[in-house]
Amino acid sequence: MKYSLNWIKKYIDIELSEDELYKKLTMSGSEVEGYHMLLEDISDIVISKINKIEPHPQADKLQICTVTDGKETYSVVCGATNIQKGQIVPLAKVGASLPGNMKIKRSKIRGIESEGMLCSTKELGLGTDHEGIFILKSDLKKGKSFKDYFDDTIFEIEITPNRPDLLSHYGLSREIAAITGKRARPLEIVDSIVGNTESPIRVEIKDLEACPKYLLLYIKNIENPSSPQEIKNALIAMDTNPKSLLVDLSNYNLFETGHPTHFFDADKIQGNIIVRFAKKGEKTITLDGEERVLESTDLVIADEKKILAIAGVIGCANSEVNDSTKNIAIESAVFKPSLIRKTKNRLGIKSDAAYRYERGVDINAPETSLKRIMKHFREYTTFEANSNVIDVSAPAPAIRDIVLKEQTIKSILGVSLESSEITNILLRLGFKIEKLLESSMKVTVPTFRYHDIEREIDLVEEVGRIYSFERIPAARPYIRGPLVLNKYRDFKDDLKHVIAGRGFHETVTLTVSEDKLYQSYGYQEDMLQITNPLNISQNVFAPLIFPRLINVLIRNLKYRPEQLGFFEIGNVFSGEEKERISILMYGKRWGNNWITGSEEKIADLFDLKGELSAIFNYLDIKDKIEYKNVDLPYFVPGRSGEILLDGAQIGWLGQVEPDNIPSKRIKYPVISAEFDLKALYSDEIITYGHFSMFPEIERDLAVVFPDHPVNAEVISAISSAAGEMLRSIELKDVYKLKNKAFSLMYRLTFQSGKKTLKDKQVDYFMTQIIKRIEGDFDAKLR
Amino acid sequence: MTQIAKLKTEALELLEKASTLEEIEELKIRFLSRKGELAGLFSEIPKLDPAERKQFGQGINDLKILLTEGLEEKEATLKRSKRDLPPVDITRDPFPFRKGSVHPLSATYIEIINIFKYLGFIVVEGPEIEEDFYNFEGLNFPPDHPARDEQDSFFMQNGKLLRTHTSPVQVRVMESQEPPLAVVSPGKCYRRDTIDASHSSMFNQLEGFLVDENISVAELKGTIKYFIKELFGEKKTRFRPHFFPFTEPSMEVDVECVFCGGKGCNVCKKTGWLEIMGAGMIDPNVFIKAGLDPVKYSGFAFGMGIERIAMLRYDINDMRLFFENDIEFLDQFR
Repeated sequence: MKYSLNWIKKYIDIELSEDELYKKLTMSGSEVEGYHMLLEDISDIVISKINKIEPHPQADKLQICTVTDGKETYSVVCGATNIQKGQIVPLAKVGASLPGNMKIKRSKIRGIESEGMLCSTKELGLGTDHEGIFILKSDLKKGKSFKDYFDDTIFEIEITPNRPDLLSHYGLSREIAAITGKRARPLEIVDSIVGNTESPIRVEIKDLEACPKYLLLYIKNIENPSSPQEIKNALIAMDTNPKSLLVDLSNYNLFETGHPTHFFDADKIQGNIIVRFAKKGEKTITLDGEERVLESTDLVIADEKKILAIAGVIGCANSEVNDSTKNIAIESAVFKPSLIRKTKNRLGIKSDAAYRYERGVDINAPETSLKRIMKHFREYTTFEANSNVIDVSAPAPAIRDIVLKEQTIKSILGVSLESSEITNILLRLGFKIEKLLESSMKVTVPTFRYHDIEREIDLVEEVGRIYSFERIPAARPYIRGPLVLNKYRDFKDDLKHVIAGRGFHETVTLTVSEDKLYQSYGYQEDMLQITNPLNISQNVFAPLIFPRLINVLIRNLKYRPEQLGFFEIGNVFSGEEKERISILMYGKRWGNNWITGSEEKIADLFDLKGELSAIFNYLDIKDKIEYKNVDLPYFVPGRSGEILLDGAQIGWLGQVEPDNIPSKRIKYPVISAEFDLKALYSDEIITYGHFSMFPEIERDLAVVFPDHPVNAEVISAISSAAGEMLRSIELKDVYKLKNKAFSLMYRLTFQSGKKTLKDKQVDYFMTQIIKRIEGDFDAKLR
Repeated sequence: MTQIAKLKTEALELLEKASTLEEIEELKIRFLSRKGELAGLFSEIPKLDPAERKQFGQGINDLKILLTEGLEEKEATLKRSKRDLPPVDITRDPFPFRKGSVHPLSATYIEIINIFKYLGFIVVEGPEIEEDFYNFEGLNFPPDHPARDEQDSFFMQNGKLLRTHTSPVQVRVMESQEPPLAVVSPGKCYRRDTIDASHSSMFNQLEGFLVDENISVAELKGTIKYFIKELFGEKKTRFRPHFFPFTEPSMEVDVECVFCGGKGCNVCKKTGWLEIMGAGMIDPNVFIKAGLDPVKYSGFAFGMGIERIAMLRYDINDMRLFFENDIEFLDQFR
């Protein structure tokens, strides 16, 4: 929120420099995001007096003014009609700068030389009026810089949601008083509002919980002139365009006290005011010209015929104050924050009033605001009569007392504070203190802090932030065990390094993504939809990872068209949330090079399977992993399979169907594997087994099958027939023969752990194996 | 003695000339074998004057060592040259080589987690698709409170939401375990933010908390200062009051700008400070919602954005780079 330093200084004397103030505020919890001069774009504008006005000989609408800054006189051509001899005006001299990079040069206007320019508020960046020259008060000193009178420092401060009491200049002054040890001057208000006419409008509240306080002040026959410059300047510093006194004072009060008020044209109210919930589907047109359809949870201010305002959020066009307004009714009320927030969010309305109401306003602010506005009315305008304040309120909330123990301060802040220091801090913040026995005190909370000070701990925070966390000594904690280490996380981190070490780049892609992406690769299940997506490209929580890796691949083909490899570990949602890993391999394992010459190797399924084997071997689960030929929708038919761990499917491996990949640059197979990660983790400790010192015997087994057999099935048959001396089986060769027949050659290695095997024994094992293979597969020994 | 000198001259000359392994073998036999010429000289010793014997014997021995070493060396050289392996140019390209990398966000996580592990914290992970209770209610965010505005959530069809921070893990752990607890929790979070140089709808956070008896702001500061020192080196830090619904008191931690050393630059917006985390003492309401006694236990919690730290660490100026996965970007990391 923006704050004008000039405005703050009305309530408190500040001896600090702007930089010191910025640091003090920031280090007490009101983070200053920056500060700047309001008129930083302006230079060489001086206060000057109009000595003479003559007509321009060549142009009817122009005049030649002779002005003086007290030392020299200048002849300036001017087109405005509101100037008179003797007035004090801002003069932009030759060389002056104005907002929007405007530079004043010596120039001829219709043949007459002009030595500068008289400025309007708009030209100075201080308003919207560009018809007339900005006429200044006559007591401003000639020759002084315009900035001396009108410049201001604007602070941008982040006010946290727990501090609605700081959303005003007076509120911030109170805070500055607390952190600098000064006192803020009280607001100038009338002592009391005594009516001399009867309000024709009465107030009825249907739900005192929703609206615990509603004050209404009726004013008869009020003049609505334009505001004095002081009010205008203050609003301009808040980026609010001044309109007329009545509108401006409502805004001014909001920025000054933080309390929203609403001015109704009293003559447009039919009957009494009723604060009630809207009927479902009830409609009204708000001040911004929009038609709003309301719900039964929206609190409204209505008369007997129509809705006058959406409570605490925005007024309606039907009761707006305008130039012809004579009689007004001023609302100064308190609404339940959560109601305002619900309505404002549903309707998508951002207003200064709603911003404050949803955070919570001071229950005592309505009276003060009316008295402050009354004071302004007496100063700046005239009116015939006013009513008494009509007050419909729930009983005042109980006085809030909290017991604060010094021991609590010590145990939370970790530092022992003197009782007098604690008291001093709280008194500065506006709390009242009563000493109790046993190093504790009764602390009474001021009403403007009711929204965030409810418990002892809240007071501890207040003491801590004003005392300063910087002054609390640091101590390293002793962390008590026993704690259970999370080895699964270490496992994942290690795995990333293992895979990266094998030549793959880890990616991080957005899990919130578009359902069409997954469908385009063949995912057919329902996906977990986001009900309020930011845009259509992020409408689901991903059910798979690999389509995003393909996107990364496509993106990177422009850099490396020949060879890429990626992997990602992330959560997917497919029936449940689980962690998966996906690995993608593309292009050449190696291209032509100085060793193999022009002989290249394009990565295929078995290259990636080799990488997976290395990973599974690292994880010590290689023997538990099996693969099964299964056609899956994502892959080229006949070129994919499932990965099984202990017989249960954990993922798959395949060559991605090229027709699904939306890029013409893809010229090699895209090989992809994706599987559950948690299943792979095991904290089993490896137990060492003795190894055999006896020689191995190798035998080759070449078999002709009538059709291509499944390798895993052949190996399984060989293993079960061979007996326990079989150490390993490797597929050495595959030949295609005539009529779909295939010859497969396996190398079998036998070894005993107890003795040297004899050829005769191995011959026996081989006979058993051959018998089994021939029987199971209708195969013949080659 | 002249006999020895003569034999030495002859033997060394032959050794010099020898160019094949066969010749070496011949020389070994001729001079060093049991019936060789040196052995012959040894048999001369008894014939000598006893006074000369010692010196003579010493002379033969020296020659024997000299010849043995010379022959072995020559033999080894000849053997190597016989293998005929041509020399290679070791500066040629390796084969095959594929460079991979761990994502800079992972690397940053690992580095940060290691520091906390060293202090005694353990790692616990939680779900990304989370219940309102864990993400908001249990963390003392009242329903319909403006504090929720800063964490605009994605709501899911199944009634859950995507967690907007890693703090839900605090509630999950406290609900299921008795203190002492010292936990860090890394993971992805989601907010309805349009992607730009410093925002993303998905981002990474690390949450940490310590709950035990007698934990205060002093321990919070000690832990965070140690962490910052390990990660950034000796840098000034400051603990600035702030507001979070789940901590009371709350603060933000700034570290002296790593780019300008605190003088003020564009990265630190001329303040000389970089905000790197939020922290505070766990609010008693959070303990109560998780079923812990706030009188018996106290604790602190902190949370930091991993992208932010990685950006500072690697001098990265645009958050989008992390999620675009350009190979030219990824390749710059190990």
